[in-house]
Amino acid sequence: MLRQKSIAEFNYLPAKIEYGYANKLLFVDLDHFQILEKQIPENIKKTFIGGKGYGLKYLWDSVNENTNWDDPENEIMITTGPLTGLTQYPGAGRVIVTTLSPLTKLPVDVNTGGYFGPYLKFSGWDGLEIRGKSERDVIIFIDGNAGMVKIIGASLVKERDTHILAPYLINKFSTDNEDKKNIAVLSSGRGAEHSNIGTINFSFFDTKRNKVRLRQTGRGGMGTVLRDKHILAIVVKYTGVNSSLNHPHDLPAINQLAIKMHKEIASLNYQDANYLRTCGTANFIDLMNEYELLPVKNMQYGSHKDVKNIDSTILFKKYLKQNTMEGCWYGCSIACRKVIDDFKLRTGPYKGKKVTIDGPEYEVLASLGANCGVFNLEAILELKFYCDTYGIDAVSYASIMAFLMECYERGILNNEFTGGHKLAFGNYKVLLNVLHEMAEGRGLGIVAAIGIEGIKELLVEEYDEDIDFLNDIGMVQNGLEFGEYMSKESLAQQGSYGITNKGPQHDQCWMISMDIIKDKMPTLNDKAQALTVFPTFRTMFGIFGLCRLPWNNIIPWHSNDPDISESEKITEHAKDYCKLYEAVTGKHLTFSEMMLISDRISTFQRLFNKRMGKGVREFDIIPYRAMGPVTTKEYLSKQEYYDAQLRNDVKIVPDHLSIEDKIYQLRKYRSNLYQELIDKTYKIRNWNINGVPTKEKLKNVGLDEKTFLDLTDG
Amino acid sequence: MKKFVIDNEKCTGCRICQVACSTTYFRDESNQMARLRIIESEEGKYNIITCSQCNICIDICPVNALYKDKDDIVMLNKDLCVNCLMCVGFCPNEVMIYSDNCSTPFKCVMCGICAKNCPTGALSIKPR
Repeated sequence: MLRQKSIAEFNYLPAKIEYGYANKLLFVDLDHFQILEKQIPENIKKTFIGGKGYGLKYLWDSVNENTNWDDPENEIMITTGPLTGLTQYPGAGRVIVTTLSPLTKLPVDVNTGGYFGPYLKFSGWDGLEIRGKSERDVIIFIDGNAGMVKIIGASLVKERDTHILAPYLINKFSTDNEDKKNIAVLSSGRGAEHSNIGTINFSFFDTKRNKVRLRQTGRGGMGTVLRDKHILAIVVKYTGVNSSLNHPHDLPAINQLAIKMHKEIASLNYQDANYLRTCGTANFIDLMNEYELLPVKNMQYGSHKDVKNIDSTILFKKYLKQNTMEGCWYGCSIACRKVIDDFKLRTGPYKGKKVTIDGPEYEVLASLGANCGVFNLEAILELKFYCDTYGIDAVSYASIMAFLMECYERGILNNEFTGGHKLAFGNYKVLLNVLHEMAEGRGLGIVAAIGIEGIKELLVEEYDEDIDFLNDIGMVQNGLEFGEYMSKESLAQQGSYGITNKGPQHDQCWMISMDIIKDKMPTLNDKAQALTVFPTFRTMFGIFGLCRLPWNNIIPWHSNDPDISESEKITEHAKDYCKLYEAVTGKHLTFSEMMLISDRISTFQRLFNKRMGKGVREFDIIPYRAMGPVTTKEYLSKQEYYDAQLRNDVKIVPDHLSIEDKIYQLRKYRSNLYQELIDKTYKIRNWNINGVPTKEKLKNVGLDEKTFLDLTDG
Repeated sequence: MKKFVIDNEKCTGCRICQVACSTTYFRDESNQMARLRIIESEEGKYNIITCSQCNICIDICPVNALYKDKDDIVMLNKDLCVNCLMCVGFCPNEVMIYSDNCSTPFKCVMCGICAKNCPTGALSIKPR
C-alpha cells in the first residue's frame, strides 16, 4: 500500500449485482474531495441502459452549452454495461470512458478493454463519475472487497509514464505476485500533461507472461482531461473473479453462447481463415495496401512498395513468436491484442531498457508507419511504445506529424518554425525527437501538441498561409485527426468519417471493406442505408459493454452455405447479442428493440453535439483529401482511374483538359456526390436537411422530453 | 507416465466406460458427464476419443488454471479457473467437458476407471 496520506475516505457496502447491474454510481468530487454513492434511477436505466448511454447522460447533466473541456464540471465518466464482466463471452470486459474532448469540444466516448471495467462493476459500481479538479496529483483507490474508496495524495510519486507507473502501483497495492492480477490501473503519462492528444491507459497484470500490459482509450484527448484534473491514476482492486458475478438470469445460456463462439473462433483459426488470433488487426495492412486504401504520406496515396517491411508477415516472423494468449479480459479467444516482449529501446529517456510493447495494431502501423512515410518496423515499435507510455494518442500524433511533414516538404514550414527538425516523410528520428519534446513540453512538441486544427489556425494567423489549401490537406474534422483508412475512393467511408458523432474515426462506422473490398453497396442508396444501420448497430457494443470484433470478424460456421446470404451470417451473431442480453438481464430483446436502444443513444449524442454548438450539417464536412486528389501529383498517381471516372461518371472528355482542370472537375463531382450522400443519409435517419434529428425521430426513439425537443429545428 | 491404448475395432459402443466415468465422478449414469467420447460412424463403427494431452487448453487458459502434473497429464486447478470456457471451445477432441451443473469445465485425469470397466479391451492404459 502507498504510504501517502488519504485525503478522503469512503466506506460502503458493495452493492449486490443483479442481472448485470449494480444500479449504483461512485461519485468523486475533486473540488471538495467528496466521495458519494449515487443510486441510478430506474427511468435512467430504462432509457440509457448502461455503458455509453450512462456516460453520455450523466455528462449531459453535469455540463452546459458553455462548458469547456478543462472546466471542473466536465466530468470523466467511466461506465460499464450490463454485459461487462462476463468471463465467458469474447470481448465482454469493456468499459466506456466519456468526457468533453479538448480536441473536438464535444462529448467523446471510447470503448476499451482491460480488467478495470469488470473490477469496477464487481466492486459494486456500474460506473465512476469524476467531477471537479484537484490542485495536486491524486490517486483514487477502490477496494471492491473491503468496500472502501480513498483519494490519496500522489505528489510524492515520482513515476509519471505508464510503463513505470502502472507496475509501481500494482506492486504497491498487491500483497504478493499472485495478488497482482486482482489490480487494474488507469493512468496516462507526461505527454498528456503537455498536449491535447492525451490518452488513458488501462493497465493490468498478465499472469501468463508475468508482466503488466495495457490498453488505451485512444482517441479524443481523454488523458489530457485526466491529467488536467490532476488524477495520476485510478486503481481498483477486486479478488475472486468468477463467471457468475453478474448474477445473470440464465448462466447456462451464456455458457452455451460462449462455447459456440469459442468453437467458431477455434475452427476458423485452424483453417487459417482468421488472422486476428495470430497477428491481430495488423493483418489489415497487407489488405489495405493491396486495395490502395492504406494512408501513405498524409493520405496523399493509397499504397507503397515498401509496405512489405512493416506488414503482418514480417511482424509475425520477427516479433509475434510467443504463441501466448493476449486477450484483454478473460474469455476473449480472439485475443487480437498482440504483445511484443523484451524490445530494446534505442532512444529517449529509457534508451537501452528492454520493454513490453502493446500491439502494434493496424492503425498504429498505418499511422506511425505508412502515413508518415516510415517503413521501418523497429522505428514504429519504438514510437508506439513511447506514445503509450507518455499517454499520447498514436493516431493523432502521427496524423499531426504527417501534416507537418507535408507542410515542410511543400515549403510552408521552414527550419526556423520546426526548430531545426527536418520534417521529411520517412524521417523516423525526427518523429521520435518531437515525441520526446511533446512529453517534456518543449520545442516543436508544443506546436504539435495542439492538434492539426490549432496548427492550421496558427499558420494562418501568424504566417498568413493559405487556409483553403491547409483545410484540404489537414486530415482533421471537428478538431479530431482522421483514423487510418484512405477514404478517397470509398464514398461510404467518407460518410462514415463525416457523419460520425465524435469525429473521423471508424468506431461507429467502418465501411471501407464492404464498400471497396467486398463491393457490397454499389448505389448511393445502399451506402446511405448502411450509414444508418451500421453506426446504429455498432453503438450497441458501447452500451452493453462489449467489444465489436467478435461480431463481424468471426464468420459463423455455415459461412460456406450458399443458401445463407452475407448479411445473415453476421445477423446470426447480432441475434446472439440479443440472447446474451436476455440471458444476463432476464429481459427479452428482439433485434429491432436492440437497434432502437442504439438509435436512441446515438441520436442523444447527436443532440448533445448540437447543444455544444456543433452537430449540424456544416460540421459534417470533411477535408477534400478524404474525398479526392488535392494535388497534381496525387492525380497523376492514379491518372487512368480518375480520367475514367471523369469520362464515365462526370461525362466529360478529359483528353484535352489540363491536370488542374481535371482536378477541379473531379472535385466538383465528388463534393456534390458527398452532399448527395449526406442528404440521403439524413433522410433515412429521419434528420432534417440541416442534419438535426426531427421531433418525430426523437419521439420514435423515446427521447421526447422537452429539453431534447427544444434542440430540434422548428 | 501413462497413456491410453485404443483399439476401435474392439469397441462395441456399449458405453460402459462412459457410465463408469460419469458415475465415479458425478454419480450420474448419463454419458453426458463422461470425460471421454464415443462416436458412432454411419457404418456402425465406433471411435473412442480421449484427451491427447496436446497442450492446446494449457496454452489458451488465461489464468494458468490448466497445467501438466508430474505424470504429464493435463489437470485443472479449479481454484484458479474463471470459467472462461475457452478450453472447452478450443479442445480439438472436444473432451474438455462443460456441464450446466458444474461451475468449471472438467476433463479426464487418467484415473483408468474407464479402461478397467471396458469389457472388450478396446480401451486400456499402458505406461508411456
